Amino acid sequence: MKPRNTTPPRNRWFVSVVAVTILLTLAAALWLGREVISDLEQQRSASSDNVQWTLTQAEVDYLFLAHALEHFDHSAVEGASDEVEVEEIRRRFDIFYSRMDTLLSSSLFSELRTKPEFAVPLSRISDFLEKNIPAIDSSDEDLGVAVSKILPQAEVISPDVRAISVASLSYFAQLSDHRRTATGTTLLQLAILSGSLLVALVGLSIYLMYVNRLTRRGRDVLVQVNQRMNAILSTSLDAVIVSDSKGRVVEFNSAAETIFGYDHDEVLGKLIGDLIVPAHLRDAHVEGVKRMQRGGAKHVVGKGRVQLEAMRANGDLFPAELSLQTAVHDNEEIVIGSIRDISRQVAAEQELITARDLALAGEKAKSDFFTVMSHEIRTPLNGVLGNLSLLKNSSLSAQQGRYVSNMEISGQVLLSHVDTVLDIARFEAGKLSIENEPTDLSKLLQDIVDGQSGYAASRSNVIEWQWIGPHDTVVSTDAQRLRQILLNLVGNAVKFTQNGRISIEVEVLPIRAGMAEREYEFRVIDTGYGIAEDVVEKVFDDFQTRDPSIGRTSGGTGLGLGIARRFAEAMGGEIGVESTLGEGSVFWVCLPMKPADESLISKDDATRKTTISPLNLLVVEDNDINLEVIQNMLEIDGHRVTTAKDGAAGVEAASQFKFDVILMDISMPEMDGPTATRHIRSGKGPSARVPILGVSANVMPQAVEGFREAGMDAFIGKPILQYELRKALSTLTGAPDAISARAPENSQLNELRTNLGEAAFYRLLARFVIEADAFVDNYVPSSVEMTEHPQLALECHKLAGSAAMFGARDLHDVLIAIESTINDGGQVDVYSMMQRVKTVWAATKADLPKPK
Amino acid sequence: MRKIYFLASLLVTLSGGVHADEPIATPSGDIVLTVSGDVTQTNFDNSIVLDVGLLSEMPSESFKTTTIWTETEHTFLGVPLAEFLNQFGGDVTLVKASAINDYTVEIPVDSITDTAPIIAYLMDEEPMSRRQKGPLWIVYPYDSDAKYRTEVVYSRSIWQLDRLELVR
Repeated sequence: MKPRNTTPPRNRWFVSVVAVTILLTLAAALWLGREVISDLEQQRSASSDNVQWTLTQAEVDYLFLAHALEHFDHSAVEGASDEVEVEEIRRRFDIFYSRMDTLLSSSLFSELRTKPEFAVPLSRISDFLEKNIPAIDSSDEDLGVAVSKILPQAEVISPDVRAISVASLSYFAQLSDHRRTATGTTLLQLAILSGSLLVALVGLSIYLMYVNRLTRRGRDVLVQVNQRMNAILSTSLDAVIVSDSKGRVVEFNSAAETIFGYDHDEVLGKLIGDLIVPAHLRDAHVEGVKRMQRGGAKHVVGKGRVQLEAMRANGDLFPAELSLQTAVHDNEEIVIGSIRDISRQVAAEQELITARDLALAGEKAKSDFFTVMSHEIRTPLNGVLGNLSLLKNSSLSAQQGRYVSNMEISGQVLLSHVDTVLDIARFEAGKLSIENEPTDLSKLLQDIVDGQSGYAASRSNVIEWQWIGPHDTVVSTDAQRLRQILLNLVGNAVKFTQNGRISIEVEVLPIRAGMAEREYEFRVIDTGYGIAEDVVEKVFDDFQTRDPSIGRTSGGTGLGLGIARRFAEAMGGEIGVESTLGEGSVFWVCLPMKPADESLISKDDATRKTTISPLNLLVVEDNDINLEVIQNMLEIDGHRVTTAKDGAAGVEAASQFKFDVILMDISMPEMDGPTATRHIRSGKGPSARVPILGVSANVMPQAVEGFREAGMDAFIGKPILQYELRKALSTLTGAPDAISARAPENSQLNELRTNLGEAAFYRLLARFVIEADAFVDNYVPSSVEMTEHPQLALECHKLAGSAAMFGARDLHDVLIAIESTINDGGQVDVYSMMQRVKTVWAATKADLPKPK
Repeated sequence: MRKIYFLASLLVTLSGGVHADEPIATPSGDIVLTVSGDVTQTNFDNSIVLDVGLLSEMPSESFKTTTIWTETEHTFLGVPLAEFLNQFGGDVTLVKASAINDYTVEIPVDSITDTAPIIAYLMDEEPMSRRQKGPLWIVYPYDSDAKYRTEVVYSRSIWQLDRLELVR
C-alpha cells in the first residue's frame, strides 16, 4: 500500500497557468532581446552604412561628372580635347546615373522619396540625366559638341545634388534618433518584462517551496503512517493478506509468511485461492470471488470471524479463523483478510473435551463403585440382619438372645457406615435433596435423647436436652437430615466423654440482617476430652478421627462430622465447634427454619400399625437367604408368598397367576429385575398390570429412576426392614393411583390427537401400523438362529420410539427389552421376546383408535 | 583604349606568357575585369584580363533574389568568386574588389562559399549596362539566407566592378 503523491486538481491548474505565463513572458523577453540585439547591430553598423556612402558618393560622383564636363569644355576651347576625355565624360555620367538610379529605385530610399525636399531635387536631377542620355550615347564628335550644352545644365542641378544630400542626411539623422528611441523603449520594455519575470519566478519559487514543504510534510506523515502500519502488520500475530478484487495478493505480512510458509515476494500478484485455499474449498472460493466482482452478496466478507480450513505452502491443512473486510483503494475494491491459526486452540479444546469426558467417566466409575459396593455389602448384611431378626423371633435362651442382640447392634453399626459412605457419594453426585416437612423439634430431640441414652449410660454419661428462650416447637425442616446431624454430634459427644454430661440446647436466634428466616441454633455440649487447638479446624474434614487411639477403639469412619457439615450446608445453615482441651466441646448448628402447622405432622411410620389385609405376593429373588428372609417377614404378616429364583421364573409365574404385588430383586444373573419387569409388563399374563416393588441394595437415585422406567411402581432398599416393607405394601395396595397411573395410553393418544389434528394424527397412526406390521413380518423369527439379525436391535429401538409416541407402552417396553437384551448378548431370550412382540402388537393394534 | 587592351592581349598570347596548365585565352571583346595580385597565371601584364565572352565560358551560378538597391526580384547569373580563386588564385586570404569609381571593398576568403558571391554578368538574362550597375556586379543570394542580409554583405555587394586583387 504505497502512498501515491497526488497533487490536488486546483494546484495542477495553478501550476499550469504559472508555467504558461512564464513561457509567454520568456518568449516575449527573448523576442525583445532579439529586437534589442538587432537594433544594436543596426546602430553598430551605421558607420559603414551603405546609405551614407551612397549619399556622400552621390555628390562626389556629380562633382566627377561636372569636372569631366568642365575639363572637356576647357580642352575644347583650347582645341585639346580627345576621345579619352569623351570616354571619361561617359564613364562619369554612367556612374552618376547609376547612383541616382539607386536613389530612385532602391527600397532603402523609398521612405525618403516621399519627402518633397528630397523627391523634387531628385526628379530634377533625373530629368537632367534622362534628357542627356542621347547626347552621351551619341558619337564622340556629337558628344563633344553637346558638352557645351550639357555643362550649364549640370551646373544648374548642383544645388539639387546638394539638397538631396542635406535632406537625406537630416532624414537619416532623424531615423537614427527614432531608432535609438525605439531601442531605448524596447530596452525599457525588456527591463520591465525581465523584472516581472523575475518577480513571477520568485513568486513561483516561494509557492513551489511552500508546496514542496506541504508535500514533504504530507509525505512524512504518510511515511510515518506507513511505517506504523507496516509495524502493526509485521508484528501482528494474525496473518494479514490483502488482495485485489480479482483475488491477487497485494500484501502479505510476516505473520502470514510464518503461518503459511510462503515468501512475501513469491506470492505477490498470485491468486490467493491457489495459495492458501484447500482444494475442497477452492470452488466455493472462486465462486465467492466472482460473486464479489459482480457486486453480489458477500458470504464471508464483513461477517466477522468465520472458522474454516486453510492450507499451508506444504499442503498441510489447519483450522483457521478468518475475517474479511473490503476497502476501496485507487478506485478498486481490495479485500483485507485477517487469518488466525487456531490449530493449537482447537487442539486445546479437544484436549479439554477429552479431559472432561475422562473426568465424567471417572465420576461415573466412582458412582458405579459405590453402587456396587453398597450392593455387595448390603446384600450379605441384609442376609445377616434378616436372619437375626428371624432368630430373635425363635425361642432363645437369655444368653443366646443377648448374643443375637449384640450381633444385631454390630450389624446396624456396619450398615450405618455403609449408609454414611453412600450419603457422601450421593452428596458428591449432587443428588442430596432436602425435603422439608413439618417437624416437631421437641419430639425429634426427645427421640434422639431416648435413643442415645443407653449408649450414653454405657459410658457413664448423662444426656439431656432443653429449649433456651421462647420458641416455636413445630417447624418446617428436613427432619431426617437434622436427625442425622444431631445423631452424629451426639454420638461423637458420647464417644469422647466419659463420666460426664451431654446436654443439647436449642435456641431461636434473633433474625439477622438479610435473612428471611429465623435461625435455630442447636448446641451439643459435652464435658469430654475437648479438642486440641491445632485440629479443631479440621474436625469437619472427611476421615478425621480425633485421636487415632480413641478413634480406633471407638470405631468410626471419620466421616460423621463431614456428613454433618455437608447436611448443614445443604440445608442453608452453618456448623461449628468451640472446644477447650480437657474441659469439653460445644458443637453448634445454625439452621434457618420456618414455623409450621402442627396439624400437618404425619404420624411416625415406624410406629404406625399396619392394618393391611393378607395379600397374594410373588417374590423374585435369586439369593436364597434373602428370599427366605423376605418370605418369612411377609408370612409373619399373614401374606401368601410365591417365590421365583430368577427373572425368567418370575416372568413365567406372573404370566400364569394373578398376584396382588410382585417383589422383584434388581440384581439377578441372566435376567435382571428391570428386564423381568419389562417382560411382565409387556406380556398379556394375568399379572401384567399388578404393582411391582423393586428390592435392591442399590439405592442411588439414578438407579431408582432406571427401575421406574422399567415399569416398577415402588422401591425399597436392602436390607429390608419390616416396617418399610409394610409401608410399601400398604401404599401399593391401598393407593389405587399406583396402578391407574400405569395406563396413560388413552390420555396420551388424545393429547397427541389434539396437538396434531385429526388428519395428521391418523396419517401418522397409519404409518405406525405399517411400520409395526412390517417389523413383525420381517423380524419375528421362526427359529432361534434367526434372531441374529444385525439390524434387529436398531429396528426395535426405532419402532419403540413410534410405539411410545402412540402410547403403545406394552409394545414399547417389550421392544426396549429386546434391544437391551440383544445389546447384552442374550439370543435365546430374544427369540421368545420376539414371539411376544407379535402377540403384544396384535393386542395393541386392536386397541388403536379408528378414524370415524 | 579598347584597342590598347586588344593589342596587349594579343602580345601576351603570342609571347606565350601564360604559364598555367590551362592557359587563359586572350579576350576578344572589351575588357571588363582585371584580376591582379597573387594570380597563378596571367594573360596581360602580370594580370588576368577578361571579357564577357571569357567569363561566360567559365562555370556559372544563377539565382533569383531581390536586392535593397533595386525595385523588383531579379535573376542573376555569373561566375562564383570562388571559381576565380580556384582557377587563378594562389595562396589567397583576401580579395580586394574595386569599382570603376574606385570604390573598394575587402572580402576575406573564408567568407566566400562555392556559390556565393557571384560576379554577375547577366540580370534577367540580359547583360547589365554601366548605368544599370553593370557590366559586373558582385551579388549574394540575399533572399536565401539572413546572413546575406547584413550591412557587411551589402557593402561587399559592389557594382560596376572592374578589378579584383588577390592578396596573399
